[in-house]
Amino acid sequence: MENIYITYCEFGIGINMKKDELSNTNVKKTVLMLIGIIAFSVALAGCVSDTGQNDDQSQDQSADSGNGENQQLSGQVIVDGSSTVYPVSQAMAEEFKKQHSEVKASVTSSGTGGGFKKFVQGETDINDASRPITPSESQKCKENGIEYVEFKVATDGISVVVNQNANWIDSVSKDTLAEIWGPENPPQKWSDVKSEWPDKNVELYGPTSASGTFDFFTENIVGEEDSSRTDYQTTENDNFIIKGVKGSENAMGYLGYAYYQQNEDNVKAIGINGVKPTVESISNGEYPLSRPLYFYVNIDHLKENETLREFVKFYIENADGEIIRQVGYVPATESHQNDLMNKFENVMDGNYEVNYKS
Amino acid sequence: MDVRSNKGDLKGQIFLFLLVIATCVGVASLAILVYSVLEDATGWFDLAFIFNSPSRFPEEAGIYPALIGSIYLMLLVAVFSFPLGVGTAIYLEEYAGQSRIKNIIELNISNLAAVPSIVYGLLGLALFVRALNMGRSLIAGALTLTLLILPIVIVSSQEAIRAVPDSLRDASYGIGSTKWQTIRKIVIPEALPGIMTGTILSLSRAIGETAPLIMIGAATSMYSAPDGIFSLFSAMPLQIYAWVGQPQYAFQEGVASAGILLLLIVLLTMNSVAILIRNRFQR
Repeated sequence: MENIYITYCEFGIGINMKKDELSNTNVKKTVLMLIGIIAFSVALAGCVSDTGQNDDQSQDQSADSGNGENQQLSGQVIVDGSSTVYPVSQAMAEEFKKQHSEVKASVTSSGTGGGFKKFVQGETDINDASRPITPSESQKCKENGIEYVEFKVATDGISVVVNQNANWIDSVSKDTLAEIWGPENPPQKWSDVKSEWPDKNVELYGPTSASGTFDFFTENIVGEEDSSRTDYQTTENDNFIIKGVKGSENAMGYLGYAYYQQNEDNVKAIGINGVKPTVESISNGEYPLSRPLYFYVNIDHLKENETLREFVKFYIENADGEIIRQVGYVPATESHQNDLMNKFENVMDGNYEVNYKS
Repeated sequence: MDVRSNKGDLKGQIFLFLLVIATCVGVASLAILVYSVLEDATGWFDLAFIFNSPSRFPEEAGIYPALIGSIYLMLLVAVFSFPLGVGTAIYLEEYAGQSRIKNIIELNISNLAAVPSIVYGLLGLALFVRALNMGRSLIAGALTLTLLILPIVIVSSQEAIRAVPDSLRDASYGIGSTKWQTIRKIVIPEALPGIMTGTILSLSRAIGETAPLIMIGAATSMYSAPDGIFSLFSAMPLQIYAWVGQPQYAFQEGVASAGILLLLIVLLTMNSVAILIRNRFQR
C-alpha cells in the first residue's frame, strides 16, 4: 500500500496528505530510534562509571586506613609536553588514579617546546620537558605572570643506534658524530667520514626540531642548539626511527633510552667515546649523552588546586622507584628525591623564588 | 545488429578492464587493512579492553574513557552541525535566490570543505579554547569538529534539497500553501534521506579525526570518562595515536590494533545507521 501512495504523490496534490502522514511517522520512528541509541550510550556510560565508583570506594577505604586522609580528591590535572617524559607521566597518572578514582588526569604528548607554548599561557598545570626551559620561554612566563618550579625526575641517555648487521661501526667519538650530523658539509657517504667505512649512502633518522631530544643532541654534539643538517628523515614518533634503522645497514638514528631498551633485538646502540648506554653508565654520568628529564609545575595552580598538589607529591614520592624503571629510565637517587621534596615544601610554604632565565 | 554487444569493441573492453581494476584497488586495500588489523588485534580485543582505562601494562590497557569521549563528541557534533548545516542549506536553496552574494557564500563553503583539518584545530584553539575560555573541554572539541564538517553537511544538504523536483513545490503553492508550509511539509521530508546520509557520513569523518583535537590540546590519555560537556576528554583516534608512539611493541601492534578495530566497528555501525535511515525514507 505504501508504495502506491509514494508513486502517486509525485503526480497528484490530493494525495499529499497521505505522503505527509507517511513521512511524519517515518520521522517519528527515526527520531525514536536515534533517541534510543543516545539513551543506550548514556546508560552504558552511566552504568560503567557506577561500577567504577564502587571499586573506588573500596580502594579509598584501604587508602584511608593507610594514610589517614579522609577527603576525596575530585579535581583535575592537565599534563602536557615532552613525548620522552610522557610514558612517566602516564604511569604516574595511572597509579594516582588507582588511589583517587574521582580525579581527572589528562596527559598529552606534544613535545617539550609544543607543551611550553601552552604552559607559558597558563593553560596547563604541568609541562614535561626533556631539556631545561629556555630563556625565551622563561621570559614569556614572566611577562604572563606565571610562576613555575622545575623538578628533575629521572635521567635518560640519548642512544645512537645503527642496524644490527652494521659490523663496521661499534663506537664513535663525539667529534665524529658532530661531523655526521653537523650542518656544514654533511657527508653523503660513510666513506666520506672515515675511509675504512663503507662506500654507501648515509641514511639518517632523527626527531623533529620541536623535540627536546633534538635540542639536547644538537647542543651537546654539534655544539650549538638547533644546529643540524636537515637532509634526513624526521619524525615525532620514535618507533619510526627504530623501523628506519632496522631496515637498512647504512642507517643511523638517535632517540631516548626507553625506546632503545625495548628494541635491543632490533637495533644496536653504539658507544659514544667508548661508553655504551646502560642504566649504570647513564646514572653515574659516565655516558656522555646522559640528560635529565624534568617536569615544570605552575605554582599558582599548585596553590589553588589540591588535586595537583597531591599529584605532584605522588610524582616525587615515586621518582626513586619501580615506576620509572619500568618505563625505561633511570630513577632519581634517594638524596635527590629528598631535595625534590624539600623544594616542593618550600614552594608550598612560599619560600621559593622563581629564577627567571634571561 | 545488437548495439549493446561488446564484441569487437576494443576500447569498450579496455575501459571495462580499467573500471574493474579501479574497483579492486579500493576493495583490496580495505581487505588488507582489515586483515592486518584483525591479525594484530587477536588476543587483545576483548570486553576488558573496552571497559578498562589506559595502562602502562599492555595486558591491562583499555580504551573506555576515549570510547565514551568519542561517543559524547559524536552526539554533540550531531546536535550542533545538523541545525546549523541544514539551516544554511535551506536558506541558500530556498530563500537566497540567485544573487552574487549567494555565489560568493557558496564558493567559500566549497573552499572551506578543502581546508586541511589541522587548520580547524588552530581556529578551535584560538577561538573556543582561548578566546571563549572553554579550555580543553569536550564542548570545545565538539565545536571545532562541527566547524570542520559544517561545509560538507551544507553542501550535501544543498544537493538533497536541490534534488526535490520543482513540480512538488509548484503543486504545493498551487493549493495555496505558504512558503514555510511548503518547506516544512514538502521540501524537508523529501530531502531528509539525502540530508541524513550526508550528515551521518560527515559525522563518521569527525570521529576519525586526530589532528584538530591534538591541536586544541585534548588528552592523548585520560584515565576516566568525561562526565559533562565542560569535562576534559580524550577520543579514540588520540588514544590510538598515543599507543602507536609507545616504546613497547605490544602497544604498537596489539593494543593499538584493538583500538583501530573498535574504531572501525563504531564507524561501520554509524554508516549502517546512515543506510538504514536512508532506506526507511526512500520511496
